[in-house]
Amino acid sequence: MLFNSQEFIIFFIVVTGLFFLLPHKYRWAMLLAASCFFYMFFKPVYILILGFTIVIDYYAGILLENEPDKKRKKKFLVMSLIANIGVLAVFKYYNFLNDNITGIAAHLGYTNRIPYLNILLPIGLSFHTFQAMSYTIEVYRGHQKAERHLGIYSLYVMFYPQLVAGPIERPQNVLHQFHEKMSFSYPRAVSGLQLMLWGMFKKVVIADRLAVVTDMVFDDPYHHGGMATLIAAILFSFQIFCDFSGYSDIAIGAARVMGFRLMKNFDRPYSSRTIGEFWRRWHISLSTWFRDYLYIPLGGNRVKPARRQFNLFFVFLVSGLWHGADWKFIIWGALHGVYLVIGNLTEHKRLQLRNATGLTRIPVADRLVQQLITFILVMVAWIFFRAPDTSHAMYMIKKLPLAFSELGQMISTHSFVSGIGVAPMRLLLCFTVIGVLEVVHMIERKKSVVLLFDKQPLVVRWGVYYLLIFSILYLGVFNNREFIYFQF
Amino acid sequence: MRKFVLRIILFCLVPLVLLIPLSMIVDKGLQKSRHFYFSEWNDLYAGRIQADMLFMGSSRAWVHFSPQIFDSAYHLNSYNLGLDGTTVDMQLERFHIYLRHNRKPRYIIQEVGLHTAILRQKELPQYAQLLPYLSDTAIWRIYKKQYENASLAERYFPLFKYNNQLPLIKEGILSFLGRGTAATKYKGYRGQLLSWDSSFSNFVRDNPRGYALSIDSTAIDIFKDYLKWCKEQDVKIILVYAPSYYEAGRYITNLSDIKNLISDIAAEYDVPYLDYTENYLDSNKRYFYNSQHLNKEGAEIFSRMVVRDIAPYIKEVK
Repeated sequence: MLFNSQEFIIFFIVVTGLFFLLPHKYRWAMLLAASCFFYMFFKPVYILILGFTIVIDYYAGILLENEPDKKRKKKFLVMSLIANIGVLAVFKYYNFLNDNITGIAAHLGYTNRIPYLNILLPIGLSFHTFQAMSYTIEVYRGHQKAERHLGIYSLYVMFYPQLVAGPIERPQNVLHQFHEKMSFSYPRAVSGLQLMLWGMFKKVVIADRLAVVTDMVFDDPYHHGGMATLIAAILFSFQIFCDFSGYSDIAIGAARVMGFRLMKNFDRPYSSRTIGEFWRRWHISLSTWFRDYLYIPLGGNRVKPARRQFNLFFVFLVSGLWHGADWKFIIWGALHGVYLVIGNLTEHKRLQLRNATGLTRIPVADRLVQQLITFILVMVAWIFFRAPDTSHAMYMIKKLPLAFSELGQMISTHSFVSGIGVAPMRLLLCFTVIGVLEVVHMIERKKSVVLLFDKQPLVVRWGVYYLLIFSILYLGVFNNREFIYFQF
Repeated sequence: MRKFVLRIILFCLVPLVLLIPLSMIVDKGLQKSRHFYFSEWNDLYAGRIQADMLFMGSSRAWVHFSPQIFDSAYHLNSYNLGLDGTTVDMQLERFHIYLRHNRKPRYIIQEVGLHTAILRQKELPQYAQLLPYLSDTAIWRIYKKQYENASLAERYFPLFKYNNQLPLIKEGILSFLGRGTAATKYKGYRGQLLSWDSSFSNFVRDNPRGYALSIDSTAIDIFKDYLKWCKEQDVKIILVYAPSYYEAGRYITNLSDIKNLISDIAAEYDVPYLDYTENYLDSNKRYFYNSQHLNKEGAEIFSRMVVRDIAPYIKEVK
């Protein structure tokens, strides 16, 4: 079920209503049933895959806790991880690997006889697999007690708000909440609904509106010039942010109305001054997952500098692969890895350069320049993420510099808007909605928008709610477009 | 929790008090509007057409048959019910609604070119033309069939169907106040004051070898049932293949099969069939604005040709 669908509105009202009407002891069962229904709305049969990993990890958790022998304990963990990664490997990476074997075999004059699997990728597989893995790892490390209630453990993996696109939770944060008795809280319900409304606005009014333009250019880059490519790349950077953070906001908000606290997943990532900072602000639940379960076990910051940089690069390469079984995602991850390594290696030189140019004496300019450079780097990488394949992405990146000569031409012929190949009103609307988003982010830089908002009189608050709701209803794009991150 | 629920109910009721009357105003206004999306639908629903002769078909009917020329030649009341971007199944859906509000025509001039008789409707362009009438079950059925994303909220939630259609809301309000757009069509027809554009050369560039049109057997059955209905109801139907630019024919690789099929169907149901594809208009870009549509000058010459050629089948209405 999509958050941006009418079915979800009814689902949310019914589930939340039932949650508070039912006695505490039945709530987990109702939430689990609702989560199964939510997931099965996409493709019912894939619930069996979830069921398989849930059962394995549930028993793995108990075995891990009961086993005093460290070696055997490790064996159980490895078995559980193999089961989880095995599911990912079959459903997500098998055909990709086979494709590459076919390519290499053909290059060498052989025929690949390994059969292809005619399967669809279950929605959100990477998210709930990672969430399940974090449970067994934490039990293994002794940071989390094994959950003895199969239903509650299932709910930990399947809790509908974060089932298909995160935030990827840790058992320490969420699991105990399912045992707690939640009572209704008026301010918390309002705060949850506020977040859901803002998330819906970002998805339906901003992301899906920008998608109208970005789809046009990314799907057919050969018929668009450099300026259109540049604009599409900028717009896509905001589209994916609003799409994914919109989803996270709705997820966190829906959980909050019932009293559950999910972790923050985004924190104004485009205000970052470095790529490292960007990853501390973008998809926080995944970045911290990789930090805790891959980067630190590889040695973290304790290893030699060269090894540390290699580990960073490797983590980003894996992160790219996590996003999708396609070379474009691997390149996207690798590109971020390269950015980060170069960023670390040149940190001192860059500071010297900023001092030498006098930029550090004007803090606002210094911040803006750094933010702009970071944004450009991230934007270029997004081209790989969104383009249909790597060759399209390369073509578009090569075309970007043409934007400047085209801009010169457009200015000299006074044909700025028509030269872009996108309807001017459409473009104006796109930049207007981005403007709204950025104003909110600018306010947020200094103080909490929510706290500021809650201090306003009722008329103002209701006015803003109506404005957002009417924008969603009458300016939103309703084409049942899935959230981008569902594919992962 | 009670306070919360009551506040939510109040919060939802406040805008509805404004939205429901506004939605009614917009609907009523658009149902009176002469905007080119709605003018024929409005004539049709208001029972203002009551035509003796109807022109049916896609845009190849809409921009090709001038009712003024037919009216003056035969002293009857003709009306162009051509619907842009449609095939015969969709055209008949509208015809059924027409018959609910208007008397049965004596003559139908049915344009049969290109897709009209051989394919079924996939998606109706300019879907907004249906919006003021979504409360009509027949229109709602068409709408749901055409748009897989159609939702009940569009039918029942005030103004939601006009999502992203602010100019239509404005037109609805203005028309309600009697200040809507002036009519741009005469009895459903508007001659196109356009000259040859680049769409055909773009088509040739994208399809240098052309392509074959698939023939949908269900569409053919619908078309045959329609001819049968006309015969049973004593409605004289005349099939017309309007001119298309001669070079375009080369790029539809099974065009002769399609024409033969239509000709065979016409013979099977004993229906007159007039083919204008090898006419002198066909070879002159001056009369076209693209390969499938005549401009105003071409359309009016063509209308006069049809007036002349259908004479044996027409009895004057006194």
